[in-house]
Amino acid sequence: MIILVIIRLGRHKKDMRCFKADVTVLPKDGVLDIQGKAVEKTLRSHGYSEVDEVRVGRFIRLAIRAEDESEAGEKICRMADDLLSNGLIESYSYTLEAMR
Amino acid sequence: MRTAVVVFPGSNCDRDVMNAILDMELGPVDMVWHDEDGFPERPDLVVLPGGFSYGDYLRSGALAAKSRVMKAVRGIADEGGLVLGICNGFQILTEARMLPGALLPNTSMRFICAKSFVRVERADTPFTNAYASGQVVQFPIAHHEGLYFLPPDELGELEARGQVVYRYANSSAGSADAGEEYSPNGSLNGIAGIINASGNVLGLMPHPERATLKGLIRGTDGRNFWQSIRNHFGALEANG
Repeated sequence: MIILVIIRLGRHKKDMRCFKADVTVLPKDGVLDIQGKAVEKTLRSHGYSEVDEVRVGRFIRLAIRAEDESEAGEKICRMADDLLSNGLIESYSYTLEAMR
Repeated sequence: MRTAVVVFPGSNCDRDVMNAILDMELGPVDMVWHDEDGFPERPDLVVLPGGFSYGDYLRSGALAAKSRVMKAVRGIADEGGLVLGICNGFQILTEARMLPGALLPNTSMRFICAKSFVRVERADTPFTNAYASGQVVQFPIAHHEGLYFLPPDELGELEARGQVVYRYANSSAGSADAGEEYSPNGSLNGIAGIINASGNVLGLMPHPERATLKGLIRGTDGRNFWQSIRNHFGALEANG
């Protein structure tokens, strides 16, 4: 009886690193931000007269894999343009942090 | 003619649309799950119904716009078939970039569920030909994000090209101020419904399907909406 043992040598994989990406999405200037206006008005009426402007947006935290920080940034931008934000009415910014 | 109504998780006007179309005897209706690659049979009309697809997560219509079936919906539009988005369906069409603009939260910050009047701005489209141009009709509205937004330059172009098909009006025909502009949700230029440049994709916030069945709720002004679609395909057939 012949037992064939196939050893699969793992293909050389690129080292993938994990990143934490924090994406902030805000209404663009010139786009009516009803929530921001309401919060701004309420803060002022509660005595916070120093408040000049409030914008209310969205905060999204992702854990992603990428070769390096620049690739992680590219991936985040693609996702933000494609789905996380609507470029007509919103703008976004992000920060990246390497994990582990 | 044949209709496909796309059902997303969270759609809630899908069967209202089906019932309206069946009541108007527009032909068979296929209910198509959003995760399908295509339609069981090629539809002449695709309807993206109202509701709260994906719970309005992220932005109204944003997740549904990425659904598998949307590629097939785009295909039908590219081939000249009719695509209609009502309420959440309108939001999905803008998120899918099949129509310009975006729907923002109502200026009142409230969900508005009310009788509304709209003026038919053009009677030469597949979705309005059974009405008279300038006619004021009553379709109910029920939405939280219905403020139509487009940056000023683009809005001007949209208007110049005559792509605004339905505009909110403040009351029905016959009253003193009939047909005057009125924006219940803060929509720019009182826009309630727009059509694409090729004239075969329409999105509107009001619900014609809720003004179709006789004796259901008051108002049957929506019947001529479906009649328009029937006329459109009838004319196509007659012209061979």
